[in-house]
Amino acid sequence: MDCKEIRNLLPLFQRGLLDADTAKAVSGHLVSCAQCREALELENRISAGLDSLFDGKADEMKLSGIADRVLEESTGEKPVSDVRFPVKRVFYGGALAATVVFALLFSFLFHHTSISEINLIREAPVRTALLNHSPVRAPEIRDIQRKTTVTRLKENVVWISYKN
Amino acid sequence: MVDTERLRQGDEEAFREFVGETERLLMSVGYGILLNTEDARDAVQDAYLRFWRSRERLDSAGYIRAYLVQILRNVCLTMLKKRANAVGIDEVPEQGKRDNTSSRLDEKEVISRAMAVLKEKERMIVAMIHYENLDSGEVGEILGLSASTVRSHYQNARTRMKNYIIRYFPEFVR
Repeated sequence: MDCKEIRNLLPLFQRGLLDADTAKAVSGHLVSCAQCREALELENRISAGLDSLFDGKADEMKLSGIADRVLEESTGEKPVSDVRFPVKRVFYGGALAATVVFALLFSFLFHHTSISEINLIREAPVRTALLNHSPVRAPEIRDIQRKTTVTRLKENVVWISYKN
Repeated sequence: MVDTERLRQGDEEAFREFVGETERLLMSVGYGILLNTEDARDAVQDAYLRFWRSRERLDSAGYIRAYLVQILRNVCLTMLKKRANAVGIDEVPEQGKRDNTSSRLDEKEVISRAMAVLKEKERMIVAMIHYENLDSGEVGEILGLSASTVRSHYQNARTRMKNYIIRYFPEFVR
């Protein structure tokens, strides 16, 4: 192994996480290589820093009485059951979903046939003509003098509403 | 080790024993992820509460410590998202900029900042290895990883920490 490979292994070597053969190879290399020994010193400092980081906080992090606080907070609660989706919840969920679907369906069916729209059609004088092209280019044209509004519903199908 | 069956049945004494056995592990993992003592304490308490509430789901054949650490990890990740993380990570100098205050920082602060550069999983692994003195096999058992994957994560983490320190805190190296 060259120096680069050895240096990559130093953190594991220093924590005793290498297998016996690799550890032996690393320690053999360290005896003969001053630069890698220097690299090991830095790794040792980082490792010591990591150890002391937690030791310094050990007092701050004491969790006295945590079990009692948890038990107190959960008093009277029922533990969450094994069955993640109880039958009742599935039933109510299904009923709610069905209601939403029906509401959407009905609103779609009756959207274009509200009572005021039906009256407008009934009151308007009806003239029919077979046209090759749609007389309406824009989606809606308002004729102020004749007080009419022409709306294209489909190609060659228009809805003319009169306001008298 | 506390009997899982006793915990499932809601034995409060068993829960107290279990907390006594695992609280140090949880605090080290929580601190490792959040790098803030107060947040770690809140997260650990929340994790124990969730664990206790879901005790009936415990698999008697499963590894309870792994389940508990997974709960804590989820709590910590939610906290990180909510609070845009704790002090440590906010203070990481931007890439390519040297921190003018570096000379005033002590060793612990340098190490804390270098920890903040790591990914959440790497911080957990470093915390368990250094604070709990667990070996790679034990850490792997808790996190559901192989020992070699744990060693690889640890190696990468230490390399990134070293590179960060050399780049931003050269006086630490001398």
